Amino acid sequence: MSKKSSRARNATGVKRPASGVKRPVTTVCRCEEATEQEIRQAIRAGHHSLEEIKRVLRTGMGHCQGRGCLRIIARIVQEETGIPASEQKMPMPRPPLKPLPLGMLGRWQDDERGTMNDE
Amino acid sequence: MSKTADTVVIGGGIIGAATGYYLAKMGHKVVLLERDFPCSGSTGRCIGGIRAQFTHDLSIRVMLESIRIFSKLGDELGQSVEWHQGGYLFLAFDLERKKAFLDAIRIQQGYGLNVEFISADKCGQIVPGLDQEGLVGGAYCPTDGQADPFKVTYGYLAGIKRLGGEVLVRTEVKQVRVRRGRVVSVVTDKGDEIFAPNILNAAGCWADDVGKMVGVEIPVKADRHESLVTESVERLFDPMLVDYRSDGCYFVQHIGTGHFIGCYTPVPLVPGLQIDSSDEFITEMPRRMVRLVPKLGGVKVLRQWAGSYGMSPDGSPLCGKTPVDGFYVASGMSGHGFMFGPAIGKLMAELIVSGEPSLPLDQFALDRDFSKAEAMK
Ligand SMILES: Cc1cc2nc3c(=O)[nH]c(=O)nc-3n(C[C@H](O)[C@H](O)[C@H](O)COP(=O)(O)OP(=O)(O)OC[C@H]3O[C@@H](n4cnc5c(N)ncnc54)[C@H](O)[C@@H]3O)c2cc1C
Ligand code: FES
Repeated sequence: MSKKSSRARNATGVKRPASGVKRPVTTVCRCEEATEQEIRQAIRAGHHSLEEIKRVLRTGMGHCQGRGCLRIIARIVQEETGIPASEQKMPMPRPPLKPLPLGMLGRWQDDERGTMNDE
Repeated sequence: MSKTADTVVIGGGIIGAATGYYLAKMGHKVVLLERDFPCSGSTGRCIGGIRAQFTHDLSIRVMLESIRIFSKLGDELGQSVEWHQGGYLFLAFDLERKKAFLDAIRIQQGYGLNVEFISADKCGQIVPGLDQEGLVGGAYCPTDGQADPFKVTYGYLAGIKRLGGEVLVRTEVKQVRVRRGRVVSVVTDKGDEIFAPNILNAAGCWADDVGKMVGVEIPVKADRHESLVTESVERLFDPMLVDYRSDGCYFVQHIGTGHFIGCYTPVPLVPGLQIDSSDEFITEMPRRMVRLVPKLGGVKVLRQWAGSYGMSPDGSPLCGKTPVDGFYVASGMSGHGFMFGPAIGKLMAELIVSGEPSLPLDQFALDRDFSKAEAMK
């Protein structure tokens, strides 16, 4: 990405307003309510990997487990540090990949045991 | 490149961060080295529980001091550490366990701890929704609590920098140099050498590898512990619930965020440093949680993960001097390093700076008798 185009657009792909216009707050991680500005601050404070940013801002730890925000954050890291998004390590996906109720997960085993006993 | 420090701290977990902070506060020039990023070891996998309900003399004293520090830590570090005094409730499902708790309580009360054995009904009042079937009662201490491991650790590290120290991340110690029985310097993976008269090994589960660099054996062995966190829900109850049955578990609702977070100790233990997640845990842990508090059945699990406990032979920390002059260790926190961190950090700093910690650390010495194990592990 050329310097010019990276200045014209931010990582969320939204065109930046012309200078002088107050920039609206862009929420990048909606689940944990982390804004673009907070993320840039964290990166500037030395947190250069998605894993570290997750530790300070909880980005990627919300209901969607980062599906909504990690790629965008990777692009912000790229803008701030020059580390290409494609080379950044994504936090490990943690099971269950979709939120599931405790009751259902707990019964899973009972059911399995049950079937085994029935055999 | 070479530089000098009063103390080099190896490890950016809670123990290294807290000790580094109190050292800097006492005037030492501190250089802390972390091979990955802060909290990348056990600290970032911990669930944040804090309690003084132990049976070991020094563990109780240290935890009373830690809780005093936690209660003012937000002000000290200039940022919230999510300290909440929600208490700990250890549940007894048989008379043998009740007796063990009563014995522990007698010891703990001797130190002035506000702890008592309460009836099953009282447990139900403190934990609405608790299934009281088979419950005999519980050991309850309302002054125990919880805090956020990341905020505490990052807060201490920021303090080190504010006080003129350095925190070098992505920097691994490869070698510790010793001359005539005294430490001289550490050499990093970048080839830099940092000279210091004091070196602290706060490398958690890897403390033995660091000890070997100077020929000191640190008896720490890792075992795997798994954990899960749920979505955030309205506040249901305050204390950490601990069920010591062989198929028990412990979990707490984070008072600040509303997430439930918990673990269990697998039987048998899973030794080693691997931190993969198991299918067994993700079904077994929910079963155990819902058995205790059935109304949690509808609460959704967001993720599971695993981390390592660095165990000492008797389940109490390993802290103090070593046979090599100037080489100190604080490791083997045996699953309680987060809660011990603030007080251990302060005491280790006192030991390094003046040789005289305000609580003698002898009972945690490397060369102690390891035959008496902690009863409330
Ligand atoms: C699932 C789980 C739940 C837990 N729950 C609790 C709880 O509720 N309450 C509680 O008090 N404790 C709890 N613990 C235990 C607690 O997490 C640990 O006891 C504590 O984090 C240990 O801190 P530490 O600083 O000694 O080690 P670590 O956090 O592991 O820090 C050691 C650091 O040293 C670094 N390092 C190693 N070798 C080198 C080297 N050669 N050069 C540079 N750096 C190096 C590592 O990268 C690591 O970051 C829990 C642990 C787990 C796994
Ligand atoms: S948007 Fe970040 S975790 Fe869901």
